[in-house]
Amino acid sequence: MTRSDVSRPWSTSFATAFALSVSSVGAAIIAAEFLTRLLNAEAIVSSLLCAVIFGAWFGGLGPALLAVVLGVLAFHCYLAPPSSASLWKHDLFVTTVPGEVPRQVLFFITATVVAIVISAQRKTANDLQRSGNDLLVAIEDQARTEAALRRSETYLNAAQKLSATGSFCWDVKSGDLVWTDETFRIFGCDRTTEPTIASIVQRTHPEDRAAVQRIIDRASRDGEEFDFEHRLQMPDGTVKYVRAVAQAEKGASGGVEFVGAVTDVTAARETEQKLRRSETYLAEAQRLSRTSSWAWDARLEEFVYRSQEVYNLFGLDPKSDTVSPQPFYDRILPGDRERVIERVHQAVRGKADFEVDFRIALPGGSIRHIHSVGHPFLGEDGEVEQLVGTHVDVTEQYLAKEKLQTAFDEIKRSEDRLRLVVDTIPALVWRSTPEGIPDFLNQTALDYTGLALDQAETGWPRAFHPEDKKGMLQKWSAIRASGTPGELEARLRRYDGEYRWFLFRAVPLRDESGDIAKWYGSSTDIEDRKRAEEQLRRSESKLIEAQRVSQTGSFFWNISTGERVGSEELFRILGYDPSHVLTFKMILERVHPEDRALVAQARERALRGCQDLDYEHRFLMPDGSVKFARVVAHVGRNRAGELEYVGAVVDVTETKRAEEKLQKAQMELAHVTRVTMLGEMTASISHEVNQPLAAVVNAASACLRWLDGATPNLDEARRAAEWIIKEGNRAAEVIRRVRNLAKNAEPQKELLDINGIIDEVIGLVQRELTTRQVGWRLELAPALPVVLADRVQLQQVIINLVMNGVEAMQPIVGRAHELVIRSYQDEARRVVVDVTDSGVGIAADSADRLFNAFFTTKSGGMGMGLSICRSIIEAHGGRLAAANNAGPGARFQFTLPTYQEEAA
Amino acid sequence: MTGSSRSQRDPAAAPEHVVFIVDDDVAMRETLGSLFRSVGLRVELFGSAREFAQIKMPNAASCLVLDIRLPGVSGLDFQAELAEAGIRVPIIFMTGHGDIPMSVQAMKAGAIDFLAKPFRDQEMLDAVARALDRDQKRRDSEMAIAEIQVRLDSLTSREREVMAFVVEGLMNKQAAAKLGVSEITVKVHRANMMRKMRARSVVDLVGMADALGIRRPKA
Repeated sequence: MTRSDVSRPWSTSFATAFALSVSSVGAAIIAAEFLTRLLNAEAIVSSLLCAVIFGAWFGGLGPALLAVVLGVLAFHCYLAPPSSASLWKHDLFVTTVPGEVPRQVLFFITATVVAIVISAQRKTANDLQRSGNDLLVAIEDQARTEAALRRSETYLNAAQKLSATGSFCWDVKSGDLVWTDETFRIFGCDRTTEPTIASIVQRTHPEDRAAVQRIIDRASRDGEEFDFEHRLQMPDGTVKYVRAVAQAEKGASGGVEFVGAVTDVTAARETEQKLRRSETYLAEAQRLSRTSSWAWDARLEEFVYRSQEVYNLFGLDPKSDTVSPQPFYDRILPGDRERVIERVHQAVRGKADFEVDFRIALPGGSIRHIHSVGHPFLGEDGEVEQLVGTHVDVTEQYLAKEKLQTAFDEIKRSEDRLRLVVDTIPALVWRSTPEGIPDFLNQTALDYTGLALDQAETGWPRAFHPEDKKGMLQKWSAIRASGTPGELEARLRRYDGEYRWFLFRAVPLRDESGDIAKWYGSSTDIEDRKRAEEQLRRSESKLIEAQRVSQTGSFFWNISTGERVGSEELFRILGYDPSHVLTFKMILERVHPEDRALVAQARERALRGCQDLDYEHRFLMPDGSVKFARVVAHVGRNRAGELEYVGAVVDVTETKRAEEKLQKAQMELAHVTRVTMLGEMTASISHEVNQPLAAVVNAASACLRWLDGATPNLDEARRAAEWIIKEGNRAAEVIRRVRNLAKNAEPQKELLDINGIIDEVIGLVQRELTTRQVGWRLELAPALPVVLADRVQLQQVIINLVMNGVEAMQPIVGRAHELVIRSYQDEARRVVVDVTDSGVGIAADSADRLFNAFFTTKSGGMGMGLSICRSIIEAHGGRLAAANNAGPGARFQFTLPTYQEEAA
Repeated sequence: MTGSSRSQRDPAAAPEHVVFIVDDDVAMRETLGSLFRSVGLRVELFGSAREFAQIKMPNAASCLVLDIRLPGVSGLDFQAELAEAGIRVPIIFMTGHGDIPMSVQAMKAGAIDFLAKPFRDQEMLDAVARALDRDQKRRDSEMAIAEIQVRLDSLTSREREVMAFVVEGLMNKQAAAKLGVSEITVKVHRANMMRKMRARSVVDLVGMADALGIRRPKA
């Protein structure tokens, strides 16, 4: 019951109280009447008093006073009843019974006192009841509060337990430390122990102790709030992470009091660590797998997140390129860029996952292949808000794939090629069962035989030449029986019926157990080889015949092994029986004693393997006859790399004889032409003699005159005499030269300076040149090497060439007649003499015959000159050639080997 | 070939006379030079016609001893060249064997002599003497003509006209009629002309006119 409930009759039923008073007075009147009548006793006073008491009790002082007034009136009425109602009313205050007045007053006083007392009592009773009620309420409230407190404490404890947070209170001054249950639990201390700062430090992990001590010291000194984390080393060895937070307050003792909480954050730390680790793992995994994750805000069109690997992958700087997509686009190869952007836009529009492969170019220039996968996240409006995805570097995979593809292609190609090779090689390739029945033939084989594969299985022996079939089958059986590779030759019928020789080769293929699984074979067309062999046999016999006829023996000599093989003809030339084995001693025995050194020398050269051989020597046969032989051999290396000579020994005795005769004839001819030439040069020669003679006569005359004078001038006379001697000798020299030319002496080779020869010749022909109006010039190279030659013959050649030049210029009118004689060395270091004229040149039709005997363009010529010249030069190992000049005239030129060259 | 005959005919008269020798044979050149010097002649030696052509002819009697076969240009051609250039030096040719046709041609072209090698020294010296003599004479007459030419150049045109009439043999009167002047005027001109020409007589004047080639037209 609330306080308001108690007070309500007062407040709410104020009118009711007054009505109750009135009605109680009425009731009292009725009761007094009733009692008067019943008992015949006057009971009005008591009943009215009762009504007043009632009114006072239930209605309070007001209603009680109303009841008093009403009682007084009633008492009055009762004591002096009215004659009528109107009267009654009228007489209420007027008509009093004089004897009743004291009673009325007494009644009034009594009633009033009673009313006051009763209402006061009632009021007190009410107040008392109200305070009792209040007390009850207060007691109830307290009980409720207590229950709530208890509950909240339970909650707190539960909450602390659940949140692993213990609270504490630390009075710095007194050092009192109050812990909650959870705090005890966190620190792993018994509830009964007294917590101290020292015990906290004690429980702290050794590594954190110093730090914790520092914080506590600072807090106790400065009253500074703290919030720190540290580890606890639990008795069982486990480590706990705790976080202590405290707030400084004014304590009850007046000092600083810290109120705070200790939270066991071990789980959080561990989770954090795990998270961090797993993040590290993720990052590492991303790095290793070249996977990078990203998030793309489709509305802002920028990256909201990119993992480290994205930057690594794209070579972007994580500090500068954070959100803008431009650097990312820039990396993509221009060819792929549009496609990537389009694909992203498609994904955004279609709200669908996307996958795209593209290539990027890194700053270093390398190209990477990227596989990007993205997933859209829709916002509240149902539109794509973000794309989240990964980039994976698939370069390796891509390359591997490419390589694989290439390899596949290669295999495919090589299979095709192999197939093609097998089908197109110009050999018949086949495979047979161990029993020798073919079960595969390549296209070439099928084409050749004209058989189908099923025909071949049974019909293959019929494809062989009837003559060869039996032998072939026997050999084939033997090969199969031996189980080793083998070969045989037989003729095989072609589709058109022609038989050709084939070489069959078969190789067995064995399975794991070593049994023959198949025979593989090829058949090569050796028809041509067979023919060649036949031809070779024939040509060999022809060669022997030819050697016999040409008296040429051939030999083969392997320097490394010393092996010598001689042909039959060689033995015949040497006069040995062909059954002998050819040795050098045998050869040397036959060599003419005078030539043995030469042959031995040639052999030395051959042993050194430095050059081909080409020399001539004589054989002295047992019967005393002499044979001339020419040995020519070519050096080469065989397949083993050994030096080999292959050569021929030609019996040139006949040739030699003929040659000697020819040489003699040529010498005679040369002499004749020389003499003829001298005859033609008479005028010139006589001039050459006459000129010094004239000088001699002049000098002699002058000498005499100098001596005969009045005063003889001996100096002048001596000088003149000296001229006489000089010119006399000059004339003698001319005559000597002419004599030499005219002589028919054996050619005699000596070392000669070609320029000296030219000078001598000029001495003879000078006059001729002058007479014929020929301007001449010498261009002689100084210090030319000497040549080994016959002086007279060389002079003859040069004179001949000069005279030819002079002749050629005779018909020319209106142009200078010019003759140039040059000497020089060519690139091959040979000595060259060159006679150039400005004459008519060589007619095209006579160029070929120029050096022929009896060819002449002169009316009086014999046509022997140039022919002789050529044989002379060639006998000296040189060459004589003629050609027209670029300008007018012709050039005749001969070369001679230098002496050194010859010696070598 | 005796000493006396030699001394008699040696052309050692004037030391300023020069003998030019052109021969490509140095021995020939030198020995011939020695021979000429031994008789007191001045000689100049040349190996070729080209060398000779380059020198200035001396103001003295000279002659040229030339080999008929020279390298480059033949003696005959050279002879022609000299004539063309107005160098009238007398030439003695030396020839080798069998050059007869050439020597004939050379003589026709005005050569002094033609000697075949080897020649006798006296023959050569005689030829040289002759040549020098002829050259001296030529030079003398050329000098005289030049003198008369100088005199002629000093005449006035009227005097020259008068001289032409005198050389033609006209009388003073005839000349005066032709010139349209008085006889006395002609006489004065004639006297001046004769004095300037240093002609002692009309015959002398006619001789001078002949030397200068001023011939009177044949009447």
